[in-house]
Amino acid sequence: MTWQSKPKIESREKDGVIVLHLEGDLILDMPSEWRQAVIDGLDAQRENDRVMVDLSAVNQLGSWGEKRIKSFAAGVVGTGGRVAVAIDPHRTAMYAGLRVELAGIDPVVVVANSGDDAIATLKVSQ
Amino acid sequence: MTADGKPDVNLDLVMHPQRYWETYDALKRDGAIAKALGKDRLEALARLVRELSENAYHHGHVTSPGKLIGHLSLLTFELRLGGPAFDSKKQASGRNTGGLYSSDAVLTQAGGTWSHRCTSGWNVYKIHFDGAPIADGDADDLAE
Repeated sequence: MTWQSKPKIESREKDGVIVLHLEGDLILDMPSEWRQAVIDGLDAQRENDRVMVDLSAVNQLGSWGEKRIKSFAAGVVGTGGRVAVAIDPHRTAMYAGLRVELAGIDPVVVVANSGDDAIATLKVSQ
Repeated sequence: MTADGKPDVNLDLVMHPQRYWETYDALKRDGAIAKALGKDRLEALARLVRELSENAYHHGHVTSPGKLIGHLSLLTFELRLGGPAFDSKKQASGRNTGGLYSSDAVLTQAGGTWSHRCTSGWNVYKIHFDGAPIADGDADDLAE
């Protein structure tokens, strides 16, 4: 399936915040090893207390991906951490389901239209 | 609908892993549907069709290709998925691990409702949006 885009996950630190950058597809119907790589990449960052999840370069975001992001965010928040999400402002409709999923997390997980805005919300809440 | 009462959307859906993503993309790129619905309703429709198709394939026993029929002026659509996949909307929702929950919420936010019934070996899903089609020239609300 040449239209599939293999997911890629990278992390770095910026201004005291862990930036988790994801790209490619985050969907159920891709090879299990691709899905596992996403799960492992997220799990590796659960111990951080300030995480910005950058989804602006994601190609396809399905309910599987939404669940993974929700689970990650809930895990970080559940241990006292904070999470913000950055999306592509030109594809806001694609993230409608993610917003539904994240709405159930308390304290709120901010969904921002840029990485800088998302990081700023985490710094304000320090 | 067209002047002679026929549906103006009539798409064949192939039930195969990953192909429902092609349906999702095709719907989002359909100029006539996008122009009638606007981006939020279009996303809600395309997403629900994708999730129902995905559900039917993974959890049901779909035996034949599906079809999406639509009357744009009425903002009404009918998704048909062949085979004894589900016998109720509750069952269709309950079998999903979560995708239909959020898709249902996205549809509601966009002013839509959906229902499900089984008839003659088909799962028939009715999807309807309140309101009116997007007026000509309302370019700000066109699909992304």
